[in-house]
Amino acid sequence: MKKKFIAFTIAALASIAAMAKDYSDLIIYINPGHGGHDAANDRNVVIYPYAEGDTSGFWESNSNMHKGFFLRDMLQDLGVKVVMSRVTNTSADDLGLETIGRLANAAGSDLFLSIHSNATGTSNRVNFPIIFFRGYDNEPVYPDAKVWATDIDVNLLTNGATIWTSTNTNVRGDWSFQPTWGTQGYGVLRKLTIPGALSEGSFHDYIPETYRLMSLDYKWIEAWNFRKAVDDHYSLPGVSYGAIAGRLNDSRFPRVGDFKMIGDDQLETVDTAYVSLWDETGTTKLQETYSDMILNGIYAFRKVEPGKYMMKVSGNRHYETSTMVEVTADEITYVNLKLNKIRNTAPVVETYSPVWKEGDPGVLCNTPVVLDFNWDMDTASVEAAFSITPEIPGEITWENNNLRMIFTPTQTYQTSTVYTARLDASAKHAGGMAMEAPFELSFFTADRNYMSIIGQFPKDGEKVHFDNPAIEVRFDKLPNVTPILKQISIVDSTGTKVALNNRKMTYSKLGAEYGFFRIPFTKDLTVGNTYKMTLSNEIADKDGIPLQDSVVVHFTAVDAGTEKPDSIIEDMEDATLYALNSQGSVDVDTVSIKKDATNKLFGTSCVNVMYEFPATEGSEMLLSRSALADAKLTNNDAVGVHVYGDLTANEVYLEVIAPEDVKYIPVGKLDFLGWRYFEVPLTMLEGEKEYQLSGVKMVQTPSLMSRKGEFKLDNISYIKDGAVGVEGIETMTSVTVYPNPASEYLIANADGLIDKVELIGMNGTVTATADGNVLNVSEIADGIYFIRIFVGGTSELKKVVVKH
Amino acid sequence: MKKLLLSVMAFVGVVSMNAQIADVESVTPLLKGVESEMHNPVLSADGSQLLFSECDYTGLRLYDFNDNVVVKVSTEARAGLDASFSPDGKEIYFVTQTLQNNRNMRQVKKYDIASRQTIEVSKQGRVISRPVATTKGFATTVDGDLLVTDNKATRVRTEGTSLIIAKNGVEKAYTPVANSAGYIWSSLSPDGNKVMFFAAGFGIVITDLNGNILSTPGNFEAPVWYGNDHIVAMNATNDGHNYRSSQIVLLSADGTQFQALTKPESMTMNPTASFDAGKIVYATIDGRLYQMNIKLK
Amino acid sequence: MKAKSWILMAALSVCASMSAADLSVVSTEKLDVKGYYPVLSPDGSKVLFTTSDHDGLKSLDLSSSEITLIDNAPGTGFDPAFSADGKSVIYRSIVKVDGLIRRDVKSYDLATGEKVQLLEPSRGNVDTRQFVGKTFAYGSARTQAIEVSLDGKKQTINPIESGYRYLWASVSPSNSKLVFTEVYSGLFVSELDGTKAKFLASRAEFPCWAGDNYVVALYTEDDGYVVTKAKVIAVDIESGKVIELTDGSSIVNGVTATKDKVVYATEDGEMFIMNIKITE
Repeated sequence: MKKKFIAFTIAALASIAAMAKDYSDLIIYINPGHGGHDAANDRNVVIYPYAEGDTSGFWESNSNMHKGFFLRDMLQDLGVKVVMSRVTNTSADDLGLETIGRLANAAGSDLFLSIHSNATGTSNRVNFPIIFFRGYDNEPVYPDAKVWATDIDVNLLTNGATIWTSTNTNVRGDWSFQPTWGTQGYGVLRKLTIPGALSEGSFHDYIPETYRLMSLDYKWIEAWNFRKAVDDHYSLPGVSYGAIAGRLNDSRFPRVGDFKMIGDDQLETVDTAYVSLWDETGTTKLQETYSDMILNGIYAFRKVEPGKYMMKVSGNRHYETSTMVEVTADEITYVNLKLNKIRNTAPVVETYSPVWKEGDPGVLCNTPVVLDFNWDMDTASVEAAFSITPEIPGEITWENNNLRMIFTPTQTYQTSTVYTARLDASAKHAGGMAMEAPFELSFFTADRNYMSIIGQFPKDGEKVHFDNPAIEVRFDKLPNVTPILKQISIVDSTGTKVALNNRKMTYSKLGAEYGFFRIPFTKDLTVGNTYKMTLSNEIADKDGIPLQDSVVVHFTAVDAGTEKPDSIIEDMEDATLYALNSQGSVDVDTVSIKKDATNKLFGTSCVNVMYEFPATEGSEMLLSRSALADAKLTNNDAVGVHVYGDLTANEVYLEVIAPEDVKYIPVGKLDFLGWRYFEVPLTMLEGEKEYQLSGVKMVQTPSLMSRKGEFKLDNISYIKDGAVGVEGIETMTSVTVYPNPASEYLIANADGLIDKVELIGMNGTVTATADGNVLNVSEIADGIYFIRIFVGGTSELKKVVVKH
Repeated sequence: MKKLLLSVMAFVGVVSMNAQIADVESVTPLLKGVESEMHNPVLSADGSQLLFSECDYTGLRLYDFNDNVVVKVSTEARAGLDASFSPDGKEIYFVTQTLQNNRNMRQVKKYDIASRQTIEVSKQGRVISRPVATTKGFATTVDGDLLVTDNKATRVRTEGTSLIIAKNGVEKAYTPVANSAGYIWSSLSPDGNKVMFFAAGFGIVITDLNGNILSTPGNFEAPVWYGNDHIVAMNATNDGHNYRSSQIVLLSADGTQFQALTKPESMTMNPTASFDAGKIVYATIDGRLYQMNIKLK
Repeated sequence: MKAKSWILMAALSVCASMSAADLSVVSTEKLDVKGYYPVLSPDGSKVLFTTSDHDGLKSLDLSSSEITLIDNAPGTGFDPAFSADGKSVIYRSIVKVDGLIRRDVKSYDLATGEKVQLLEPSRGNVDTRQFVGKTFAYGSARTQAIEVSLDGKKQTINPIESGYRYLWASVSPSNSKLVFTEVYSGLFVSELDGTKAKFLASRAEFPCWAGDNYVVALYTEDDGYVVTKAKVIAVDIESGKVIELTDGSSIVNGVTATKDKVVYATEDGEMFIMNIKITE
């Protein structure tokens, strides 16, 4: 026994002395993961044409083993000693994890590699390598194992023949990756006391990758990259030759399959393609290979001396293509190519739209005609061959590499008409072959080809109250409001654009009774000025059906409010004076009468009436005053009424009472928005009688839009002998401050960014300042102040009241 | 992964305007005259503790309602942005930021309230997602890598336009609303059965644990759960540059009821709620805090 | 790789043997100390144990509960053995030179604490069993066979036809039989010269003799990544009957035995001692 040991020891010492870092010193243990096609711990991904359980299909144990063999051969060629945990794939090969670790130790290995591929376990599909070492991400049990795992990851990521969904390094400690297992970690990595890594080279549940893993050339690529990782780990020189590998796809036909495809994996693969390698001039053939039959398009030349070459590729159904390739030592040059299919059949229309048959509803009057072909077409010949009757002007565009033709009519079809689109047989595909027969499709159009306006403010010639103005247009269908601001233009009499406040636009939502949009102006209008609004005929409903014509509206800005302090009958400051009188009303669902302090014309408030009727016609609503108004009216006089309209076109009347008589004075139809002043001579009153205001009545106008509304009333005045009011003057301002009076905050808003606000007392001193647009006044004494608002280099002053 | 294409049009809330869902019992200012620059409040689940920070999220302060004491948890930048309590209210998770070699590096830290000790619980990274505290740990992502210390707990997070719900350690991603610029403000209901998040350009979305939409209560920001059936959120308007109004609103989770709790001109924002304590805390635009006690009808 | 000859033998032996011995578990207790990969001394008085990463080696005296630290270097907990007289512990350590692994062997005297280097660090693997005394067996990677030494007389044997790799060989207490695993075929018992090989079980690791009639081992199933099920089993070598000593409710990852005890450790590092009784 002793002799043997001495000999052994001397040999060991000798090897220490001769220690040079070259391949022949290394012992590497390879464990191709799993084994035995046992569904309990192997992985079978079912891919056409292999049935579930077919051992020739994709099994992770097969794939791991092939990679292991290639790696073993590469390393042995370099003189490395390689030991493998299995070389066949039977259930006996499914070794226990403790056993594998012991075998690796028993072999005296320096380095351990367990080869696997991955699956997500969810419906998510990704593809990238993850390499594991034992320990936490930042605390490997053997630091060298993390270095080894990183060397593997870096090299696997260089694979250019696959589609990676991430090229980030993904080197993980198994304890961090599976925190619920505590520090158990992967079984094979536990036994070693030598650096080991478990490589999940790619994801075999990303189906295009599963198919790639059926290719021996593809597995050879992964093995090459493992070998490079060994070189990197021990700083070894590598091999003197290079290689070429890649993936062949069709240039445009989509891959068929009910699985996720990313990037070029969405294109068909070119199987059994013939790939040949020639000298630089393309005259001498040097090597040849094929891509396999298993839907991956992968090919490789596994040993090519460094230099420049021409590579030619052709498929059974594809045109030949060639490309120059340069090969460098110890590297794979990846060349992925897209091949064009040979167009060897006539073009046909595969699918088309609109599809219409007798009995179907009419198609929208702006429906395009779409033809999808089986080949990319010669666009000029198709456009010459296309016609549509009855004739209608339109534009032809192409998509999808000239596989799809779209005819878009540039004006709407006639209603309730049969149109026929025809492509005669002179249409050719890009290879020059013509159709075998002409193609025709017919469709019947709907009975509406334009959107109609059913309500509008302002209408041509109308007067608009200058303060807080807005425009509103109502349609028979919901309008498409997304481009609306480009479709409306408003200019004043000098031609200067007048802005609308798009952020405050309201519009009809799904389920509304009619379509509308309402947009306020950004600033008040100038009293006395005339304006022109143009609504483009591109304004369309959500199906794209437009207005028939553009609409031009001229309107004038007025001040509907005038002060006539001596002749006010009713100042509308007290909303509690009015209540619904059910005796004088018919079919009122709800009415709410409230004081409105924000939108008033005079005083501190006006009266706001919000109402809803059950139907689109037949209702009447009487709001009675709790006491008669003082003023006495005779038939020589006139009344002036300030009304804020709601575009419902419902009619408003004043009820006036005299002993033994009741009269209803028509004020106007609410077919407008905003404030309007109406002056009504009281000639319908009976002579010699004196009447007093007793209420306000509304009568519904039959219409889609009259069911719900909200109107306001402010001062009702009494004009002796029918005098007419005077227009007032106001200044324009773009800065607003609210609330006023304020108790907690004063909030300023403007067209631009407000930098600062200052509160100035009546004596001119600055009482408070704030950055931005909000000033806290909770600790400021009650009183009248000015607020100075600093916007874009200028400032503006507004009078405000602080009241707690 | 289920996709339901909802256009803005389909978002129809039949809201009973200002129907009274709850009675406001009291509104009291907090720490008035004691602290200033109080923004971004966060309540613990039992409502006994409150976190807040400066307007730009610098620093993190902790207020104990019972002791009436304010403690500085951190003075670092960004500490107030993603701060939260562990469910048992004993720890605080927050994310800090430091400039190293001209790059902002962030890190998740954990503060033990009893011992006042802070430890680092993640490595430093450039991009750290909002840590989600669960019963026995937390989850975050550091530069794209998932870091989970309590993998069995159900949790929800958002990433770009994905809603990611994890059950028993398995994450699934959903996109319930198409064409949104991004999903933020995700949370689990207290009973863990519902998920809430905000889809930019769309509004609040409530789903079940499989990403199926249950309701879309409205376009209000910074929503938080108030119990399992109600939501407190912020309704703000702006003129494109500055806030115009901001108020706190109370919604039913099914989207049928709405109640404004404060007025638009109150400039109140960023609510936080404790259903157990019947209280809501919110901040004003200029850094004051208020506590509102409510009682559901 | 599978030899067919042993299947027939196993079948025959089941029919033939009638007088089977019987093994029962008398009691099970949890040891106070946490550890992994236990190894019992031949007389059952001490247990060696280490960490889950095989870092460090300790010895526990089962009667006095005293713990002796033998070595705390990494890798020293892998495959230690007691000398035949039970007085020293033979163990292996790993050292890296120029990126390549070297392994050495040391012995530790339990009474004096003296350490002796038995083998200088060298390339390739070395089995500690070679140093325990004159009688031992081990599976050799170099010869791909089993090295048996009986009282100093050596043999290289290959009991399984087309047997490829052997692990865990050990000689029975009466020096009459050999138990070993062939990694692709399973757990076997044979004569010391390798003849009359009889199949006992598949997927059995850590086999050791519990007396002359029983082999105790660890049966595992895995998913390719982690062990999903593990049970301590005892096999009657005459009848082939398999008794499960643990129920699989926790994952056991190391076991050792003598004729009256079994010590095993679970994944969490909890160690248990089972007192067993074998009746003829």
